[in-house]
Amino acid sequence: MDRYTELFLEEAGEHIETLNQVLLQMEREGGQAELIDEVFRIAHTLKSSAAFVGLEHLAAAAHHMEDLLQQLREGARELDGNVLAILFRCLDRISATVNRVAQGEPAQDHFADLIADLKQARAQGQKGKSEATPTSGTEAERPASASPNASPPTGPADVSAPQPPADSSGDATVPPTAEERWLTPEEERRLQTTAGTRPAYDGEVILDPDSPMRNIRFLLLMENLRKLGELFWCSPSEADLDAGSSADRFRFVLISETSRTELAKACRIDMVQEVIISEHQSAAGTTAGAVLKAGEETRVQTKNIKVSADKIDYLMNNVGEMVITNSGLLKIYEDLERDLGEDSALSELKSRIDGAARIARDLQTGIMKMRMIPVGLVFHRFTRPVRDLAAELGKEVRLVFQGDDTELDKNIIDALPDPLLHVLRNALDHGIEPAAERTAAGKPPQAQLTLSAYQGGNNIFIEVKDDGRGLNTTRILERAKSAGLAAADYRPASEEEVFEFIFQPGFSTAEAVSDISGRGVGMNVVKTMVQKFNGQVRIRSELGQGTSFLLSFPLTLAIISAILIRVGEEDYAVPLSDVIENLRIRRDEITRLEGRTIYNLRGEILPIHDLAALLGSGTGKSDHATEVPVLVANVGDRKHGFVVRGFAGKKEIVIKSLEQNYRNVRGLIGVCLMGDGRIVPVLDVQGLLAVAYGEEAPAHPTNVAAVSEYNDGVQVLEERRAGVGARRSIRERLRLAAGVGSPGPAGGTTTLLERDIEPVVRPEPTASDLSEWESPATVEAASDTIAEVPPDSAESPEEELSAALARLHADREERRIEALAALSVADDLPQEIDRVAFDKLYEVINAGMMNAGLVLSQLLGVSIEVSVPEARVLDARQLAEFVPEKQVISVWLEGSGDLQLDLMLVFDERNGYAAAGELMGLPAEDWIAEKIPETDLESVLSELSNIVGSSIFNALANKSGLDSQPSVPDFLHATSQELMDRFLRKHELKDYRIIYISTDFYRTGMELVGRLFLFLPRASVALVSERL
Amino acid sequence: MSDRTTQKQTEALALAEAINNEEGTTDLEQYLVFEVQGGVYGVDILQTQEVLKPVRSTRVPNSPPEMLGVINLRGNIVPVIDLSKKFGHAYSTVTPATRIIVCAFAEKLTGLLVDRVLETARIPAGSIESTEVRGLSRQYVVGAGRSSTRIFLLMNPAAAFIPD
Repeated sequence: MDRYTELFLEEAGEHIETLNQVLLQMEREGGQAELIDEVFRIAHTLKSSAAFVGLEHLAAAAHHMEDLLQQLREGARELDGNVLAILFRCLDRISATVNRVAQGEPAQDHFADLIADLKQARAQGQKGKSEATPTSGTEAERPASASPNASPPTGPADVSAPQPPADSSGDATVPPTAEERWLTPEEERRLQTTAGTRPAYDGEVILDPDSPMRNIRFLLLMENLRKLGELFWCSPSEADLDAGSSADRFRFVLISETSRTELAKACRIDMVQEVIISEHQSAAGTTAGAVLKAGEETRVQTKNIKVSADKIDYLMNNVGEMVITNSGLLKIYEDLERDLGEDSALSELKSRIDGAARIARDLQTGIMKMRMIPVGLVFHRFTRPVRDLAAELGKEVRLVFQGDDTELDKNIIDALPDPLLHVLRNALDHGIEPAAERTAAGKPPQAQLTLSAYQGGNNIFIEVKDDGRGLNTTRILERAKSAGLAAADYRPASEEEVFEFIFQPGFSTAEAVSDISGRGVGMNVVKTMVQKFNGQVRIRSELGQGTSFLLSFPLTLAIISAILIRVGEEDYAVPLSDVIENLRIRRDEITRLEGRTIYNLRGEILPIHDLAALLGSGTGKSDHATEVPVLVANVGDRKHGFVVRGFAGKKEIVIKSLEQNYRNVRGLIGVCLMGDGRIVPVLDVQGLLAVAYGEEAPAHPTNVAAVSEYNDGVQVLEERRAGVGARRSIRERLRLAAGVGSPGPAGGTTTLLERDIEPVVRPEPTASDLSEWESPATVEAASDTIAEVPPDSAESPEEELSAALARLHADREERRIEALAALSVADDLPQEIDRVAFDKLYEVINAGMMNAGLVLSQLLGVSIEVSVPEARVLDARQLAEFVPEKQVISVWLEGSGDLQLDLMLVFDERNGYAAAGELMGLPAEDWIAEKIPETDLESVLSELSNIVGSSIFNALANKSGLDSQPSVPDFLHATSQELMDRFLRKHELKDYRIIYISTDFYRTGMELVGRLFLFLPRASVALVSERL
Repeated sequence: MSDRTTQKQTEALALAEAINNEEGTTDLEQYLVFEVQGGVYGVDILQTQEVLKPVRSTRVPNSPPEMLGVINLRGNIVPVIDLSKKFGHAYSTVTPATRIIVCAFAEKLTGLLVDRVLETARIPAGSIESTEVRGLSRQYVVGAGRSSTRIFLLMNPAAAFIPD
């Protein structure tokens, strides 16, 4: 179906609806001019838009309808039952054709008989007015040619019968509203010749009635129009305007390539009240080149736009995603806050996240409001069926609407017509008495059927109320018993119980099965539909006074309030509307009676069900508390208790269907998403009871263990993959082990720690492990990246290192000069450190590094040795020689306390990734930038530095009694030049003694080379020398 | 959703065509080949939407044993089927190679949990041999295909994609 057909269907639906209402009004109140105009307008629009999408027969019928209406407008004939009947027939036939097209079927109706009748009706009304448009000719020969053109909808009584050409009429004194002319057929032909392929527009400009000098304004307007195209025709004519015409509306036909919007803009001169522009209607339908739909009128004041529900759903989904993303951000913030403590930048981040969350919520509310539609749209559809049905049954009924502007969720609106029709039919068929019976009962002969909508609390109520004979409980009960719905000796406890039978499938009290109701399916449908939307039906009835069906729906389907409960190890949501209360009841007060467990709730028998058993959730950790939490829910006006493990609060949820990708599940309404993206099933208490009472035995053994095992596996993977484990637990562990106080909460991480310390199972590196597929991969990605991953062909770290060293030596001199230039270090030599002091210091450092190696070995469960093969004192100018070239990964720690001592650990890139990968427990081929996110690299190496730094600081403190603590690590992954700039410029290097320590980390078969630099201010040098 | 799926499929189709033209061969079909409990299977790549690393799922009560619950795929609720269990083996164990292949079939998305994804096989159209495979009913497998490196069993999407 093309877009234009879709648009046509959408529009036609509305027109048919309006037509229906107007015709009914005409029937009631007679054919006032406005009503006839309205019908005429609809017929006209239908004609042109149908022709545009190729429904010529429909267009022809609409055209003949128009002709007949034209007679009425002209006053050439009176509106009588005959005309109304044929108009109603037109409506039905058009509606049927539109429905066929909507279902993708060809429109087979040729309307031939209807057109003949229309012609005949018109001929009868002709009354010898032979000058009126002839009706001869077949449909094919005679399309819309002689039709009046594009009458504006608000235009008062148009007279478009052939008239002398407008420009020949010099009569400017006639009141402008009384006589308005558009093109004669002859002019029409001339227009076509003149316009050729250019589009033509009909326009009407209405001035504010109070505006002075109207003729001048219109002349001005004419000028504007002439700039845009060829002004083919206008009324009043230029001559009239010059002569001082006082008309307050100006009509014109303009041939122009300008867009309609532009045209409308040009018409917006001062004091204009309304501008109506439409494409010109001619014999050929639309003129060539016109791309917009024929007959569509642009009202500049339009405030409403039509949006397909799909687009809104799309937006809704995305906003939901946004809300979830936001809570993810919030979680990151919380992690950061825990790791870093209070910080002004962080609180700024928090306020931004809060802001974004607020906006997302507003958007969500706004989009939900877009889904709300006034219920009147459904109500007014019933006018006609009720009228027809009442007539058929020979009953006099007045249908009254109340609160038809009450808004309801679109999904409910869409589902409402059928059940509502059943209720209405039921009322007409059974509820409302024939006039004679009414009169006998002292009621007015005309019955009143009220269809009302109103909001109460969180619910929308729709009520169908009649003043008929009311429900006869005795008869209902008899019928129920004879239909086998109730035992012969059944004694109802209340009227409500009796009314419930009406909703049973197979129940009908109608004596004869009629076409209208009484097929025994109707009311059952009502209940099913209402429950599907989480609503309820109530019946109130008083014998002899009338019956009322009250349908209640939640305010919006999109969001409902729910209570979160725990069952076993799982979470579920229960719609709040189903919940009556939460209780804690004593186990020993639950009694067993005939195989059922019950509880005496304030004198009422409360059946108790074990939710874990119903859901196959497993019992979880069985607790032997004397009291158990029980959720009391309302199921079909009866209370039922469900034993749960606990309550987890109330939450607004959006229900998502399981049916979309799976199927409906007994006992579940659907699922909902939590803020963190987790899925929580939403329970359908009614369905659960069916399971509980064995109507629907659980078909499958529970898969709770399998799913939980799967999720455990996923969690282990996720921790390792996302680096969460690496980041959090290594950090925590390293801190703890290095004797540095952990800033995080003491508990909580222990389980993570334990799990991570276990030797990591390394997956066998498989060439076919398709890493490229893991991102939101598309199919195309799959098709070209599944090439076998080549084995890591790069040099081994050792080879790489020696190559790098060789290059380093080669251009050492050059680099040194560069570095010096960058640093502008003063050319004075550092004061020598006391040889003895240096030896002592070296000893301390060595001890510290050995300790660091021990700590690392313990943490990683592998043997790691740290050795310090070389240590020397450098001067600032020599520093550059000892920094690896190209990309470096480095961490700087500032010590503070008794001794001021800064520490810098530097890796070249290859060794840096290797160290991080090793610490994260990744397989060797993953020690590359692509596999280790920068954040993980930073946190892991920072922690490594922390270990090394802390070990050295501890060793120093032990030996010298000088107690210092390292600062937060400052991480840099950049070129060696940037490293110099960033780290070394911080200090006046000439004031420092630099101790370079080559640091090797050994693991079985593996050597990692790092470089450690200690920066000692002069004062510290003296202090260390003294203490050591 | 189905829009996106269709679009993806169209893209994939276009790509497949492009590849065909490039190679000068006619009518290559692509199959995503994966492993379940040591068995090698394939599905038509046009019936797949994406491949995911395993993500947390939520159990659906009263669902068949092979149904590992539902996952949240960008707001879509997608069921996950443990193919190992479905084929009558034990439940699969999650390893770093485990993947969920999201398939689109009959306008529904289903995730298939597999032990590992092996390759995308391009094989000439019509070269799938319809064979009886012992031990596996035709309910699940409709034939066998041969890529350059391996032979795989072509899954019958109707049986495996649509959960009971």
